Amino acid sequence: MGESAETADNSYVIRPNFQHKFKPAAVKERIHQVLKEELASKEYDPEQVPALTRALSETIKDKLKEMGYDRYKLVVQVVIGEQRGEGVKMAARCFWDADTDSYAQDIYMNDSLFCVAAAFGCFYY
Amino acid sequence: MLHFLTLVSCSYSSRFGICTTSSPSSGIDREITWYPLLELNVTDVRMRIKWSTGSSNRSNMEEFQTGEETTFVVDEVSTIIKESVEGAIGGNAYTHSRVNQWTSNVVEQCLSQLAKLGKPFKYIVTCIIMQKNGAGLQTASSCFWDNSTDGSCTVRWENKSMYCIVSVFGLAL
Repeated sequence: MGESAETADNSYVIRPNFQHKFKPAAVKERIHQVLKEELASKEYDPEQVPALTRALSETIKDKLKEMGYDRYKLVVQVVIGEQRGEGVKMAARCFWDADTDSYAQDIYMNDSLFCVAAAFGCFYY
Repeated sequence: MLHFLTLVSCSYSSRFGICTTSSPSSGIDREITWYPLLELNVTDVRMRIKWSTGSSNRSNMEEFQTGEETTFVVDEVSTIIKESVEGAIGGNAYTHSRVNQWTSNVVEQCLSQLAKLGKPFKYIVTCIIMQKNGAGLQTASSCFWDNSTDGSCTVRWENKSMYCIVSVFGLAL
């Protein structure tokens, strides 16, 4: 039993081995890099922010795919809001297999906006 | 005494690989080899093999059975979310000290209702509660999954003092 490089062949792997597991710390680091890069100079602009949020979630998803989680289904959620001193609370709960699935999140703030990015990875059996 | 055993029905999806059955002469044991094939498009298939004694009786044939629906049904989930949000924060005004508890309640209620559906899905539920202060908020999500079976549903709810955005992602097993 072993993993095959071709997608058409059988793969009898039903649990990720340790090397291949979704690592929250590594993913958080990656997300942090992306957010810092993209948002360093940006200000909250109601016209541009929708496109920016979408682009950011696509970028993070692509970067995660590059990290080599090929048996994982990924969900990336990005929230960008204007900094106006109001209160915001975000919570998430998941119904999954705690052995194989995990999530990572990161928050970035500057003077005019705040951004929360959460990435969830679910193993596909 | 002659025991006449027949394999009444054996049908399988070609994606599941090989299924070999043998009808033994002794009539006591049966041997089935079943190779699982793990592919991204695998569907939940249950197969029943019924052994019957006596003459082969066509009316005993078991049908090829599939499990319950394995696609994400957006309407059903949307109703569940709306009910959970109404129940948890229905008539309240934004209070900083209670927001923690509200988000937890909304999410937990949603999740328990979804789990009760009994479908072969993994769920991710997120909830954002924001005070109404004139500020703007944008949410976007990007997903790497199987489009035919997985889906998401986002519900926006508001009252006079706050906004609540709940997203549910369902990933098929």
